[in-house]
Amino acid sequence: MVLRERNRSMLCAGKFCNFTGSDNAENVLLSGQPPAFDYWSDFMVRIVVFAVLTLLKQRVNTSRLSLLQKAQKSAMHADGSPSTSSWEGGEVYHTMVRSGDFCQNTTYDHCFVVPGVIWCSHLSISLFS
Amino acid sequence: MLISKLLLLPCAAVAASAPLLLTEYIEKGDLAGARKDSQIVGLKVGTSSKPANMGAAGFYSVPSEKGDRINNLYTWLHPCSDCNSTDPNTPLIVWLQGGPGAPGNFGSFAEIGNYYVDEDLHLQERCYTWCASANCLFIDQPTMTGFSFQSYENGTAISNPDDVEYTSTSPFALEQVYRVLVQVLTIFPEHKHSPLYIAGESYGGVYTGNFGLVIYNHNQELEREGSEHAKPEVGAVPTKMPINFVGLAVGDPVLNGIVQWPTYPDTLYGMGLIMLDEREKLRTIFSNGVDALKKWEAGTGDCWTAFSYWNSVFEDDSGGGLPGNTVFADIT
Repeated sequence: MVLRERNRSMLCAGKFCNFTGSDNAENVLLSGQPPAFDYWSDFMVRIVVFAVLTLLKQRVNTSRLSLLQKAQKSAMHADGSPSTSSWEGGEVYHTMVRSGDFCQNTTYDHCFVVPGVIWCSHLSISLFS
Repeated sequence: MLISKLLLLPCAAVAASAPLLLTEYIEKGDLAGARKDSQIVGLKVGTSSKPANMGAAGFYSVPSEKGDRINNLYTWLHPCSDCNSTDPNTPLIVWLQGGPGAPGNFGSFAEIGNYYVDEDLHLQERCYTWCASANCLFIDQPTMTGFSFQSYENGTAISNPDDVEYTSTSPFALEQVYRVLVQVLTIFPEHKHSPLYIAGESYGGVYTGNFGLVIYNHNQELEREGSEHAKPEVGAVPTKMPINFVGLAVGDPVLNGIVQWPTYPDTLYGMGLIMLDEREKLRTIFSNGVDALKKWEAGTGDCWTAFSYWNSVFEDDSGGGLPGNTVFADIT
């Protein structure tokens, strides 16, 4: 942990780290995910940890139940859903492939909707000619 | 055993809590209640006592693609941090995460929102954010993405994934997003006339254009029909309203595989990530993929074949994590 913290302080001076929260730019360049990308999903499911603590503490002090109400997932009003998918893929993805949506050329949708300027990070304007 | 029992009990308690279905408030005409109950309160910045200005969130219900189920789409209206969020001139950005299947929450917390989550799982203010001068709307879509879920017509949530009617195309998905947007603007009418920008990344490149078309077409319909449809009866859930759609932006978008796929080998080679022989290997794979796309376009092939070439390189359908056993992992 000490080493990790030291590395962070050494490498986290730039905009990349400030923007992403990640100090592993080389992995990002290789399309790996910075660790910060995982923290949000942990944040949103932390309610389970809180709930366990609450349950244990409830035996001693029932006022601790308020901990549960303060849990992030509850605060974000994301409770009650049977779906907790954090990442792309799975059946949501495959359904779009089977329908052919994945293979569509949507270039002209953009041209039709936005006759003015469109900015794309990877594509040249020749795509739209 | 004791630990697993302790874990199961709170999990059951969590699952039993009811989702905040904001559409029901609209049906009852209780817009003030929807605004109040959807506010995100109690979250702090870091370990300080400074409250995080998170906005409002909840589930908006729309018909499924075939119309016999209800999709409850988790939606988060994130107020600007450095402007007057209720000023009608403040832009509203609708952010469409890619995937398919990547939740809007990810875009907010990991990319463009006013807060990110640090390794100690505390909220921290992001220095560079899109939502400083614009209000942002994040939607977990299509259904079963993120916290969004499907229910039967009687309201019972579908917990068996095999029983879910997944959304098959972007036009259907974005029609549902449009209905969510209309409901959001019904509950928060201060944003009704805000300049609206659609933005997305990756597969969001497919979504953004489709969403623009949906809005454009509905605006045209409303113009033809007059303004009656923009004023539904009290308690009715509106399905259309004029949208002040002014712009669209995409980053690293999926737009046209026939044009885009052949650029990967040279891009990766130019970045110094692969060798010449590996570039040739990728050229062959993507050339085969493009041939498959062209066959699909001509009606003589299936989309899955084209996808399989793409997926053999990136294993894109398993969480975007390049977990190995991919061509990309082998050569880098």
